[in-house]
Amino acid sequence: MSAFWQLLRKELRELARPQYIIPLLLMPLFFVLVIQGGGAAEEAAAQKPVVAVVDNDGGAYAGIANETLRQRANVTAYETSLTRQQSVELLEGGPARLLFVFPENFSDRIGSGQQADVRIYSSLQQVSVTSGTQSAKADALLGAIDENITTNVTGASPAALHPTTSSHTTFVQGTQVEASPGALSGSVGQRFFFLGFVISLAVFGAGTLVVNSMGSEKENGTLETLLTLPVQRRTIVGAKLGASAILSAGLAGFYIGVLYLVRDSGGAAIAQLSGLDYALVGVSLLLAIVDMLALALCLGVFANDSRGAQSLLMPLSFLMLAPPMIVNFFDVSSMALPLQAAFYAIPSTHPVIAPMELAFGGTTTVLAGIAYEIGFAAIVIGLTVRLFGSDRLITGDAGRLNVVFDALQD
Amino acid sequence: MSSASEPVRIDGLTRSYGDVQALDGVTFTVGTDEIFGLVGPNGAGKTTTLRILATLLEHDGGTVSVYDHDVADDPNAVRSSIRYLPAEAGAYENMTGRQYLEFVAGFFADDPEAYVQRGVEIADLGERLDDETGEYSTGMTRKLLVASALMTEPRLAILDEVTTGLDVRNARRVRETIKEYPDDERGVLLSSHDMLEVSYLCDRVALLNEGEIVAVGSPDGLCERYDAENLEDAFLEATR
Repeated sequence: MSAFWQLLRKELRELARPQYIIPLLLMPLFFVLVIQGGGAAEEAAAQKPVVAVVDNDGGAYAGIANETLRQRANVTAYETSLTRQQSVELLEGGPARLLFVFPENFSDRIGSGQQADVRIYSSLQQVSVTSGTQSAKADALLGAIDENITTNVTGASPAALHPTTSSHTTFVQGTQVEASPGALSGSVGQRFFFLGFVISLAVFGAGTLVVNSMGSEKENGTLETLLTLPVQRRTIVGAKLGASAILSAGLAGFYIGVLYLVRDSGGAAIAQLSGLDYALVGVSLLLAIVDMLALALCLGVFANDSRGAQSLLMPLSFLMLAPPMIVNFFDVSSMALPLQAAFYAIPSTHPVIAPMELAFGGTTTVLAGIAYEIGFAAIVIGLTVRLFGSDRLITGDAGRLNVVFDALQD
Repeated sequence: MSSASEPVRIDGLTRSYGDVQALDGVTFTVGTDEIFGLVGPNGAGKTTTLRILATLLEHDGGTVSVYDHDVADDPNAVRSSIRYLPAEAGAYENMTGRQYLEFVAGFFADDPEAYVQRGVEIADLGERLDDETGEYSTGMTRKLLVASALMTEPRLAILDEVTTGLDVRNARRVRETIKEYPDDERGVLLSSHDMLEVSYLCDRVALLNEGEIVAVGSPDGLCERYDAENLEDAFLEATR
């Protein structure tokens, strides 16, 4: 067996230890929970709202409102002439999450051309970001009630009430999409945000693996023996990068697989991309992983031990996890030029933006990103080999950066 | 003894760490069929010297060669001739002792079985050889590492504080193994704090103090030169 294969096997055996792998395998669970939580909220939003009605008016317009609610919602309770306290008890004691109370003078006020108040009570099990769907449902029901009463009072047709309709067309980087920017933003965000995060997590996981490898070599006192074996230093670097890349690629495949399965069960595909598109995203991701591995291996040279290695990796991890956040919350094209340059300089940016770019015809951008990642990898791997060839691995001397590295590891 | 056959030739070796001059003009040779000891207090420069020879550290000045291969110009040839056992070395925790021996031996032969068998004999760990090294005591790990260093029969064995962590019985056994190791084609360079051990093992000794060699000679010769009863007294006298 050649020295490289010997070392590769050793590295794989070292890195595939449960204490390294299990935390990385558990990471997608977070996304499963978030996505399934989102799916449950969507399902709940799509269902008819469960409401209770208290009609203290008994007039014609309250009747129209009640009829509208019966058509649009699941009315589980209908009562008349209840006090406020009794109304609240009706909501709290029943399955309804919304209670519509029509006051005594409801129909009289509308009949005399005045606005009438509808009291709406909501019941929440807990306040969360999805709580907004409940008020949206109430507003939608109220809008339907308004429309039906207006039609009845004025005799206007639905077309007269809504004389215009609209259809949106949006151009993204020259690609025509039949949707409004708002709808597009929601759809694209839903499709690509988690994918971007998973890609970044895979890159982060790769860095964790290689830095663990370096940290444990130093901590366990095996590094000096390894470096005095009759093997070229570049072979040692190659084996460390190779083993980490193999495990990281497997990890990335596992992450995306989990995400795909979860998405599929929710009834939505990750993205409408071709096989070639997926291959390009895969190449970009693999190169970003290699970039991260080489960077982390460089940092590992200056680590005192496993804990120090993790500390050194932390700033890099934040940087690697930044692209999906930036893509989701900022318009990169409107950012200042230096910030844009910094954004595109992060290797993990390129696989994160690749699916969206490919969806909107930005193949050239993706290919340029891949070229950048190759160049980045060549430079950093070259630097890593040089570092491994020097005695910095033993002395930990980082020159002017000593102050920074020491502060990070203290 | 011709220079071509010398396992170690060091001439005017210097090395500093920032403002600290760790080695200042260190010069000595190690011959075949010889155990050469570096003796000195903490910080004297022993480990730095061994690490430079083992191609782990670069040096600032002077020349260092192993069997005529310069450590700076031809480090891979040097690594093929040596085995270095650091003072605080460990083994890969998720490998068994046997797997560790196989791993190391695999770099020195296409069919490493003979080396592994020799390693098994030197390690003398019995059935524990098939346990993961993470379960070993300090002494067991040290025995395994000594075995891994000597089993491939390197032309130069560089051993730093070789019996550290070993009990009396195992330390004696390791010393016997080292004592028998040199022959016409190979030598040993070791460092130790244990003056008794050095006196017993070494044919020649270099007394190293604050990065400089203050004396070189056989243990008996040094005792005689400094009119000392033992090597410890000779060292104290030489560095007074």
